[in-house]
Amino acid sequence: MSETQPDSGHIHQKDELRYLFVKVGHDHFGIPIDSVKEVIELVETTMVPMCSDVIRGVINVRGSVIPVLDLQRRLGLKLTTPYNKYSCIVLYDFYDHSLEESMTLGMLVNSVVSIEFIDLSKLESSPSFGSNIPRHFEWKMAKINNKLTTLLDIAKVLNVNEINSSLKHEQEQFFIDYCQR
Amino acid sequence: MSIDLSSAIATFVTESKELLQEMENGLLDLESETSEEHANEIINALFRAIHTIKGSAGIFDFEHVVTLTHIAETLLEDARNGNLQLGKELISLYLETRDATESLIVLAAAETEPDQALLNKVNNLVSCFSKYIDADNTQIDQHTAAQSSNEGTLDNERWIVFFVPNENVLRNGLDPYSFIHYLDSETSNLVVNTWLESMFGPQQYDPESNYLSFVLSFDSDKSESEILDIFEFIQSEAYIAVLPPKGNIDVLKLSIQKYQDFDFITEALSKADQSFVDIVKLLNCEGTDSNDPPKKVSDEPAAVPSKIHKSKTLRVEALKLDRLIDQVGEMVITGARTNLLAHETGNETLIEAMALLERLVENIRDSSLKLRMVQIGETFNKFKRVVRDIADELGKQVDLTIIGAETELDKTFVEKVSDPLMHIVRNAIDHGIEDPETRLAQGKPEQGQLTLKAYHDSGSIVIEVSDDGKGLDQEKILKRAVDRGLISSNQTLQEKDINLLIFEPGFSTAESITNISGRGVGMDVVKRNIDSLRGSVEVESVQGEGSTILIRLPLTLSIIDGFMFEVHKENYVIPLDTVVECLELHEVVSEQDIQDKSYINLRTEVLPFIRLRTLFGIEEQIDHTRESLVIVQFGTLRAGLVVDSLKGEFQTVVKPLGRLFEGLKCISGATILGSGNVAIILDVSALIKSAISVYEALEKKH
Repeated sequence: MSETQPDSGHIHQKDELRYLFVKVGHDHFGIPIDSVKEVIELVETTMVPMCSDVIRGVINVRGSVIPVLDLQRRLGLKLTTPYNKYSCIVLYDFYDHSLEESMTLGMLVNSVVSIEFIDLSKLESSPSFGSNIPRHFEWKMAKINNKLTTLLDIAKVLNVNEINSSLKHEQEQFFIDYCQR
Repeated sequence: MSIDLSSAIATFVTESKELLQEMENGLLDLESETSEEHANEIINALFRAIHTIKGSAGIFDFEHVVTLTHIAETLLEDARNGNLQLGKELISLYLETRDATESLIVLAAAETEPDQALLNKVNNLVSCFSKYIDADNTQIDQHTAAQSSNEGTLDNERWIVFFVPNENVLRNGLDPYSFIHYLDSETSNLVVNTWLESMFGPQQYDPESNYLSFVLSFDSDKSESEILDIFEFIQSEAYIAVLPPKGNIDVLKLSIQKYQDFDFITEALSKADQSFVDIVKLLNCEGTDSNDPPKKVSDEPAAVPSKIHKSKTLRVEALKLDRLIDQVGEMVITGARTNLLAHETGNETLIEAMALLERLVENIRDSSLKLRMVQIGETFNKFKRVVRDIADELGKQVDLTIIGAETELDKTFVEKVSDPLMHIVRNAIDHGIEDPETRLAQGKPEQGQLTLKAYHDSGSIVIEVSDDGKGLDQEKILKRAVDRGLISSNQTLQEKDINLLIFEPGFSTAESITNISGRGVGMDVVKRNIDSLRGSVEVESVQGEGSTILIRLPLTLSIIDGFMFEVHKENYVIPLDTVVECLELHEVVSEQDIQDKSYINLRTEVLPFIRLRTLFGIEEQIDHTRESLVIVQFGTLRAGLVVDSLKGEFQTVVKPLGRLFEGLKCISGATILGSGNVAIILDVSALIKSAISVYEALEKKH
């Protein structure tokens, strides 16, 4: 498919990368901006029944139905902050190599902070322990204004296969809960 | 110079494939055809198909294809002239030719030389054909020799010309009258008999069409070819036959068939020449000793409805159709939104206009969806060959009956259902139908019956494959399933469920693996493919009497008539045709009676129900009096869904939910409402089935 679409933040020839910084919970995270299609305000989502709360719901974007992930839940943050009028849905276009299909997913974030240029040579690796999100979601740390920000490994965060299988399991659980009542 | 022929070649390949398919169907029909007239028609169609392929292949210089089709065509021509009977052996030869031609064309189009095996096969076929042709030629010689000595001559004294111009002659600038006029000037005592009845036929009169046909008789001392020359310019636009004095009876017989009215022709002929006064008798007595087909010139017009159905079709790229349907879908959504806005304004005229528009949109929706519908007959016809080949290979006798070939279904289904059907048919012949000896011993007719049947049933399409073979051996299936660890030995299953075990992966009760089936791979493919189309499979079987496999498919995938209801402020849609009735829950059962039970007594029938609110994990309860009950049915399953409120019918454009939600059983898609919000489409059958299976699984644990 299109070679301009990086499957994650890894393959970059340029020295400088542009990242969209978003606030999820209380922390800032970086999302590679190349594949960000657009950022829209938080609209009313439709709940998909019998799904875990990682799925916020689905929305209508100009006639297509797009699933929206709740990024706080997806990153497994313990303390969640309620979404407010500053919350946004980041629409992310990507090509999934395992499914050989390009798709669009929405990520619900607490707010959009800024767009930053990141010098590739000044990246630091993520902490070996002590992070508040699962380590495989982190790619690198970027230091901007003396503040460390986690750059997300978006291919892992938006791993469709993994989410799909957990959803299937979840659905089964809903039925079991229902029948056991 | 190089011209890019690739697109032309692609067209040639698809066209040839279609022609070859037609040819195959024709050949198989021919095998069972008893009426000579129809057989001739089929042979003509075969001839045309093979001739077209030969011609096109010639354009592209596909040498092997031309060689093979040429010789096949030559032999077929003999059959067309009635000098050769197409027996089973020849039909097999032609079927093989068909296959070889197809592979040759595909290879040639890919610019690959055929391998040696294929070439050998082609050479083999060619030599087979040559053998027939040689044998045949000697026959013809004898035949013609015999005929020339025959007294097949008439004793007419006047010349007769049979002149039947085509309907289009006038449009093509030819006037039959001018030819007759010229004939009159060249000959003497011309008598013209004109048949004009068809002008008053039921169809509308078209002044540009020719409705006339003529029988001309005259005296002349010219030669036959000189007379024919008079009609030279109209030759390609008319049927012309010249019967000189003491002419050949075959010419007469052939010509009579060209006229639509037998009474007219007898009268015309009797006027034309005295010897034809008793034309009927003449024909009859001649007809008995001739080996020509008995004349079927009866009172009815000769326009026997053609058996080979010719429908006018237009080739359209599937992608364009899909796009059209997408756009229609958008229109439906926007229409619903506009309607909503119109209602908000309260403007009566606007609302009325909108209602009209909605109806039009609905019509457009239906007709554009119909564009994608194709008859299942084409798919079914493919199985004639499959059945014939497999039955031959296994030494069984199987008769295939096709019912409901005109049933229409979505094109995507046709493609996806063909594979599963193939597995089912193979299984039926291999495992179901017994060999002739066994059948006779069991008092069944020697020939096994296999039936493919398609019909519409309450919003779905049902495809049935039934055989009158030995049926499923449930004990054996159970034993095998336990051996394979698919079920535990102390499990008790209903008959229906035992039968369904044959669809489990790797399941086979056949003792030996044959070429055709027995590996146990086929049937799980069936189940998987059908599931992916939101369909279901059922098996009915009576041991010793045969089994029937029922495939149930939804009518269409993209736009459905839906029924909308609300659960916890969210809208949900289910297919309208699964809804049997709607009730207020409190009218059927009081709150004290129901407690925490999940079934009701509806008109003395037990009806289990699912409370969607609870299933979806919503803790908050609503008042019992506000709850509604939607009774749904899918196949033989019937259950209730308890919902918050009913919204009614809704035209639903099905939007895929994408890979993220793939495989989630109860959710079949989403749709966009007039308000722009999304509603989830629930898969009713999966919902009920999941509930049942989870209940059963839990029970077993206790």
